[in-house]
Amino acid sequence: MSWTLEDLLLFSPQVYWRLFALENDAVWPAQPVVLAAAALLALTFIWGRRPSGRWLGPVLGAAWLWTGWQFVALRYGTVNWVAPTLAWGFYAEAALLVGLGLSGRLVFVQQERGAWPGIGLVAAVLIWPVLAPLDGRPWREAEIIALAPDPTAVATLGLLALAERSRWTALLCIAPVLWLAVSTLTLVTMGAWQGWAVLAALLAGLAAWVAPLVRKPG
Amino acid sequence: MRVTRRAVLVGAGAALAAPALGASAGEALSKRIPATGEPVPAVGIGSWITFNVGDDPLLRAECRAVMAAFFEAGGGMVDSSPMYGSSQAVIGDALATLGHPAGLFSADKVWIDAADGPAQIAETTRRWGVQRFDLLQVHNLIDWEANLDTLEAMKAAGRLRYTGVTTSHGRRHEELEEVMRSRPPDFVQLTYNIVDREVERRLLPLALEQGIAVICNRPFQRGRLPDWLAGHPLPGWASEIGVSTWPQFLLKFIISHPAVTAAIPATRRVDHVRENKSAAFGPMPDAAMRRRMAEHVESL
Repeated sequence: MSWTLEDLLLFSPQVYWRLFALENDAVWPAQPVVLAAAALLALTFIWGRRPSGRWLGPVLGAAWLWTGWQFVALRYGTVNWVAPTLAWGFYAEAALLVGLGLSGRLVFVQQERGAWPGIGLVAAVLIWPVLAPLDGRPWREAEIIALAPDPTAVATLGLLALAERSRWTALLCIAPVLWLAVSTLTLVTMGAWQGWAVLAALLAGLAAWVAPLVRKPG
Repeated sequence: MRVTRRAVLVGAGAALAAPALGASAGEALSKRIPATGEPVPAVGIGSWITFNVGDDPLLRAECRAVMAAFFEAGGGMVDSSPMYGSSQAVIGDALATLGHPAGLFSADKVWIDAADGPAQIAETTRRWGVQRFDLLQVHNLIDWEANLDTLEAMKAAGRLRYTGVTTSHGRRHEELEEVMRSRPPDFVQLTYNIVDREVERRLLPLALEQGIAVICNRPFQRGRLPDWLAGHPLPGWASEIGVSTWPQFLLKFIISHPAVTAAIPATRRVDHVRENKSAAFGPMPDAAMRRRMAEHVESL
């Protein structure tokens, strides 16, 4: 007998998934509003327009602040005593997004090529809620961008892949990457196949961010 | 605590001498705590994972129903820890809803550096809503010498009835053995089940020798054992010890060991808690039967 990741899991899958149901019940009807906003954002990039980081940074920051506070700290924190500490990563990301956005350091650029992985990740959060019914669970347990951490982090990685590369945007990648890594471990340890979807989104986001840097020297 | 339905095993010596640890058909098996001779039901309930349901009203109701069924079946040891998320608060909620039923043997842990131990114990007591605990244990040997100082001082002051030290998942057995030899607490808690049997070699005989009560955690390996065994038929001879399901088989194996005081399976299902409690009824396996049970599971 020895330590396994399973030994560190404090709750059952049922308890974890029902956290999303409780959160969704509490904030209804915010879900269609944020999903419509996410769809509009994805369409903006598909149409070749580039929104200003001066407003998108603070908007995204607000999503991180809300998700970190309401879901990670207050909701997830009821079953995982590590969660309120993890929430500080969300607050830091929120502050960075607001600060870098308002200061003009978060710039979304017209990319000659390679925009589609980033757009794809932003669009992916529109179908993220379907993971719940695909798993045989009710829609009430759907994970929604700006309300649940995984789709919020995935969309953020997608948007950062559409931004100008700089040390600042690299800094902004840290929190979503770490969260998605933690989430992958949690879900896989729970035996939930969604963990592999999270891992795929994480790897796609990293690849999309790094790819232009790799291409440049050539 | 008061035990209303029991067949008390009269001490470890008698248990060792008995060819079969029989409880009569209508009475649940209880074991005596060596330090005092107080009987405690051999099947208690744990709260790791199962009772960590946060503020979820639906799942809290399930936990209350499980606790109600547990006390209807005679009650006994309820075990938790500050490490187990919201489990302590959920237990406190259930106890308050049930009107603090008779038959509770309250067991919790201190899981922090000793300097912060008293504050954590105070918070744990508040969450449970009890006046004092029957048993407080040093969780996973954390700062065990200083924490045991605290618990012994509480016991001496009449604010605690029993002290204990825990380990789990088969780790740190050598350190636990050192504690049992150098500073024996009233209880130790360790992992013991039909496939994790390392403690049979040294720790369980030592507990008998030192007069230490033994609580067995992970009796089902977090549900893996019943799930695995469900694919196999029970052996025909299981009926000789009153066993009709694999969970009963697994629990009877544990609680019939002469050194074991209680097993604490965790569940959030009423039918499971009733099934678990039913394992304390009927004939118990003797040493030869226990060997046969272990060999049978090994052969699968």
